[in-house]
Amino acid sequence: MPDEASKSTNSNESGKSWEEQDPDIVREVTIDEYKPYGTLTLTLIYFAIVALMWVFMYFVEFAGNAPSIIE
Amino acid sequence: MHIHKFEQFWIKLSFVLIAFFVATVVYGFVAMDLKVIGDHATIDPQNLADTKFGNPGVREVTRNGQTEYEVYVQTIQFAFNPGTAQPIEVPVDTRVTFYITSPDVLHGFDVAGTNLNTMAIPGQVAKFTTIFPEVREYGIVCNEYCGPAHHVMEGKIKVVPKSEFDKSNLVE
Ligand SMILES: [Cu+2]
Repeated sequence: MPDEASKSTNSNESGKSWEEQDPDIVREVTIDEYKPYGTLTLTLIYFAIVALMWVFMYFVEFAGNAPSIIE
Repeated sequence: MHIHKFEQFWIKLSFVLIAFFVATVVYGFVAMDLKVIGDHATIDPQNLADTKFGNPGVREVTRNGQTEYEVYVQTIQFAFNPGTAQPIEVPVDTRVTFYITSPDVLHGFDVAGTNLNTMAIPGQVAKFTTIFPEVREYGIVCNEYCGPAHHVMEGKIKVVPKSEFDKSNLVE
């Protein structure tokens, strides 16, 4: 499988850039120039929610639910 | 294959999350000393009459010079014996050990709203020890489907002050 980063920087076999092939494309970026900060933020929020819910479920609902089994 | 660095980041983060889950569970069972039901003993479910389950109820025992209580409970379709017909009465702030088994089918023994919860498996004895910290009533529910009247299978534990604990209900 060709490396996607190199594929997007080099023009393809027709010798035309992506902009020339498709005028709807206004700017071409390599995969590493593409920075989905919105997705990253949502992902971090999601991880924070999962971690917090886990802490609540495990330490409060499970371990904090006295009386517990002591032996 | 080229993986975008953001994607590499959250793939790593998900492994960190799994490590965090495992770490909290290890912390709970090592540092917080949480306990779950283990395998205590097996028993012939057809011949409970010859065992302490044949005369179920609350027994007084002395262990390490302390008065403690043992509660033998049979879970049957569709009642806890004792528990349903009469509540299981135990004193507050005292070690109580439950022994639970089933002569018929799989049942659950869940002290609602607490961490006391075990399966009652024919042929197996579930054992757990606890201390009830406050005077109050707890409900017991069967949380394993055991037949057509499973949903009405319930009982009660009555935790009473030590001074009000009626020893005349104890079994020998
Ligand atoms: Cu049941």
